[in-house]
Formats: sequence, C-alpha cells, structure tokens
Amino acid sequence: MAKLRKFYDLDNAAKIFPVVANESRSYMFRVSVIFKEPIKLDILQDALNRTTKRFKHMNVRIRKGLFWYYFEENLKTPIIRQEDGMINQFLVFRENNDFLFRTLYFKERLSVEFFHALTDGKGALEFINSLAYEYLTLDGKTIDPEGLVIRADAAATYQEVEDEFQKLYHDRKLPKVKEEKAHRVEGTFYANNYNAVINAYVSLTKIKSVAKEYGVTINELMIGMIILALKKSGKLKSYKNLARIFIPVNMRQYYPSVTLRNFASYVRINYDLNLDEMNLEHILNYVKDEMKKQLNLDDMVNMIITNVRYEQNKLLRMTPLSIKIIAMRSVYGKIGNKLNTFDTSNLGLVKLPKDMAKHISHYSFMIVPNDYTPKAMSFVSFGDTMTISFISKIIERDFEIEFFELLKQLDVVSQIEANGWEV
Amino acid sequence: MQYCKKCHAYYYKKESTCTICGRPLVQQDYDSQVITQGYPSVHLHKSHAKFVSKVFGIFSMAITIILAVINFATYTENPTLWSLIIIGPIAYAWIILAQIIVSKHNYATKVNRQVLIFSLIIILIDVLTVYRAWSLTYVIPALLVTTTLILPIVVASKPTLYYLHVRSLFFLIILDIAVGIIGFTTPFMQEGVVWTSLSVITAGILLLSTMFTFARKDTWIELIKIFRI
Repeated sequence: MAKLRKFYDLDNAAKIFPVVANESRSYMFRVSVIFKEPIKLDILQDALNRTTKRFKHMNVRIRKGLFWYYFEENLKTPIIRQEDGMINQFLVFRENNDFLFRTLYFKERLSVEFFHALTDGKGALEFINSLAYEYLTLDGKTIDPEGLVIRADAAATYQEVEDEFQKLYHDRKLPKVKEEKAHRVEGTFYANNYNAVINAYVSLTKIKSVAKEYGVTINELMIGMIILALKKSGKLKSYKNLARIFIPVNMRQYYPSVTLRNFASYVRINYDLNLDEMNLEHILNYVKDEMKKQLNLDDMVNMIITNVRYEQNKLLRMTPLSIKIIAMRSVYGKIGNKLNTFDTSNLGLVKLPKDMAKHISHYSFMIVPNDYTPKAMSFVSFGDTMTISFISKIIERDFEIEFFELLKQLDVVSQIEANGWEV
Repeated sequence: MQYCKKCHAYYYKKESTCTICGRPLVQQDYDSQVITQGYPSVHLHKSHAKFVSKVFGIFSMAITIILAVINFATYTENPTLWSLIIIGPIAYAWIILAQIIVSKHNYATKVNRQVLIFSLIIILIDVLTVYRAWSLTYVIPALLVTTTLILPIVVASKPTLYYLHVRSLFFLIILDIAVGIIGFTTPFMQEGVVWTSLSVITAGILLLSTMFTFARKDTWIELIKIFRI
C-alpha cells in the first residue's frame, strides 16, 4: 500500500483559520461523548495515543512555510487534561505538544476541542467515535464495529486526507455576489473570553413530530425558532440590517467522499426583523422556501470555486506568507464575521454499533461565537436525545428566554445542564 | 429534579434557580434519560511569573528612563552615551528572557536568533565606538563559523528529529553566505582582510553539502515544504 505523505497543505477552508484565530475568536469547536461510567484516565490516554496515530489528519502540527502554512506529522504524544470550566478557548499549539486539538475529561464526559483548520464536524465525529470505541475496547468491552466506527488498527487511506475543495475547482465565469452586513446582537461581554453554555436535552421523537406537524425538517424548525426568538428578544424599534443565520452544509451528502478534513459549504438565511410577522408557522414557511433556494448545489459549488480561485491566483501564490497574513487579517477585520447575526451547526444523528451505544448516554456539540456574533447554537442527536447547545459570549439571555418560551408552547420538555452564567 | 415553570425545563437537584430566566425552581419528579455532570467551576490560571516579570519590567523601564534623561541632560558636559552601558545589558536580559527562557521554540531556532541579535548588538557597539569594522571582520564571522560547526553536531545527535531543524540550519547557511558576501561587496569590513569572509562562506557551503550528503531526502522534503508556491 502506498505510504501516506507526511506533510500536506491546509485545505481551502482551513487556510484562513491560523491567520485570524485569536483569544476572542478561537475557531475551536467541541464534540463531547458522555459515557455511562466515569472515565479511567490511563485507559483513555492509551486509547488517545492509538487513535491519534491512526487519524493522519489529526496527528499533525502546523508550520509556516515561506508562502503557505502546512501540516506535518507530529511525533509527540497528545495530552489529556481535566476540564477547567472554560469552553473552546484559544489553543496555543506549543502548550499542547503542537497538537491542534485538545482532549478533556470530566467525570463521565470525554470532550475533544478541535481547531477548525484540522477538520469539520463530520471529521471530528469520526475521530471521537473511534476514540470512544478504542477506549471501551481497552476497558474490556466487546464491541462489533459494524462498519460504523473507524478502528485504530485499520489502515488509513490517502482519501481520508484529500482536499476535496481542489477537486471541485474548475475555471469558469462566476456571477458576483454582494454580501450584506448583518444585524448584530448587542450585549455585555464576559471577561477573559468566557463562553457560557446551556445544553438542553430534549426528546428527538418529540422534535421530529413537531417538525412534521409544520411540514419542515428539524433544521428548518430550529432556524425558524431562532428567527422568532431573535425578533422577540430584539426589542429595537427598527433594524438597519437583516438578521443573517449562518448554516454550514456538509458537502459529503452531495459529493460522496471519505475525507476527514474540511468539506463543507454554507448558506445564510436572511430575514428582515422589521416585518410584523410573529407567527411561527409563517416564519417556518419562509425558512422552508429560503432553504430550498439557498441549498442550490451550483451556488454552493460556485462559492467554493470563488474561494479556491483566490489561492490559485499566481500573484497571490508568490506573495510571502507574512504579507498574506497582514492582508487576510485586514480584510477579515473589515468584512469577516460582520456577515452573520447568528451561527448554527447541526451535527445530525450519531449512529453507533449496538454494543457501543449501550455504554453511551448522549453527545453534545458546541461551536464558538465571536465578538460580532456573540450567540450561537448547535445540535446533535443520539438515540432519542437531541442536545441543543446555546453558546454565548454575552451575559444577557433574552434570546434564550424567548427560545425556551417557544419550546414550551410546542410542549417540548427539556433537561438543562449549564456552566456558570454568573461568572 | 428541580423544575422551572416558565421555561418548562428540569434541572438537577442541586440547582435552585433557573439559569435561563432566573426564577426559583420547584421540586418535581422527572425520569431523566441522560447522565449529566455539570461543569467544573472556572479556574483562571494566574501566573506568578507574569506578575514578577511586570514588576521587573517597571523597574527596568524606570532605570532606563532615569539614566537616559540624566545622560541627555549632561550630554554637553560629557558627550558620551554612557547610559547605554547599563541600558544595553538590561535590554539584552529581556531579550534573553523572551527568546530563550520563555520561548517554546526549538533550541536551533533560539540559537539562530541569539546569533542574529548578538551580531546586531556587536555592530551597534562598533558603530558607537568609532566604527573600526572589527565586528563584521572578525567577531561575527567567528561567531558564525563556531555556530555552523557546533549546531549541526548537536542536531545530528538525534537523527529522527533532524527534519525539525532543517530550516534553522538553512537559515544559518544563508546568514553565513550573506555575511561572507558583505566582505567582498561592501566597504564595511577592514580592507585586505578576506580570510574571515572566505571561512564563513566555506563553513556555509560545507554545512549545505553535509546536509545533502547525509540526509538528502529529509533535507529536500523540508526545503519543498518551506518553499512550495
């Protein structure tokens, strides 16, 4: 079998993250798996070492070349730390044995925080599932993977580290799209770049039935509720800019790929908060129509081509990295996050082998907001439990109060787990 | 479990108020389907080292400003920059702290940075003491030749980690050649003294040849990684 390369470029989506990541926008996201028993640290360390070696795209360190960043194999051992109450904090690679992901544990919860340059939600899920599988196996459990989990002793393939964005690129004329500035949710920021989190555990069956009642998908239901909660919590007489909800889209559903690196595009649902509409059903119909328009494969591919085109530009390629960094930071500072009001992400339904599922309680998934988009929401489902995570950089929780009011109106019961909102 | 009537949400028994709306919770039975742990209290890592360095920073700044002001005020009577004798070592101590003690770069990078910084300081001393070109003619070439001899030996002692230091060794080669060329193309070195420039260029070329002789593949791959367009 061909030996995997020991170094490779960052994929197109990843190129921006090492440049613009800082203390206030860390570009980390956390995926947690909660076991039914407390974690044994020595077994977890062993499982982590094996799993990291298997996943080539995770077992890397980032380095600066003269023209581009690149990944190369990391010979050090990943570190496991106990949680310290901070979520998705900025990762200083050198303090983490040069790894771009952070492994944490707390009682029964195993969490891995990933720097977005490494992978997207799907790739992260594969890694943590494999880690959980390896941990349970080393703990003496007998589990048949059923082809649903990547085993640490399975051979890696080069397709897992392929940059799918490059494969989608081809030279064609593209229409120019003007992006509008988004309405900004204001509030009092926590000190020390603290991210406050509320996890709401709800019944997936109930959510599905509510969505079916309205004739929408779960994703559309959540987006509709976000829009209505933003409207109700906004309390402004008029809104200068549109509410723009950012939704990443897993491109693997359109282009079958086994890559474990970033392979996602995005859509934005725009809504004029000045409209008088307060009826959830009407808003959901609007969201449904908008999603149909936005989830246009050609448009999403065009966005990818536009981004890849920049890095194909010969002049840009020959510009030293230090100048590229200054230029990218400057452009990102002016435009960057000002295009979103609210960030969301849906990791979908996690499927595990039967023997493994009985040892796991649930999952959670948290993205990180930033100074311009101080609130975010993410969802993941396992079994009959859907975890809705609210992440906030601001103390005010008017949005969350309205959202839970909507959940109550839909007769959805939730169980809450939160970190300190009163720090 | 504890229950919030407004938010229709359940909490673990240790909670007394709703995190979402702030209202008090009431006791109500609920069959939880999930195992929750809560989150640990936030531990902000307070660094004593940062506090100590701030104190020394203020002291250093105070001494520097006082000496600079006195030097400036007495310059007409005593036209020498005597304050640099104190300010220079203070500045260099901070450079050593930042570049060697605190920095998490590998040792080869630290050595290169020290060589560069030390060379610049030596040139500055030469310039401030009526430029006689001893810095560029003798001291810096000697420093570079010594580093070019010793650093690769240390790197070679751990062959599996060689690839981590290729860029540092390459930087050293470029520095050797640049300093050597200065002797032939500029009037900044003592006239007639070419052997120091020749030795430093030779050291650089020898190091490059050694890298390609003993670790051709690793060296080539590292150079591709660095210079890929």
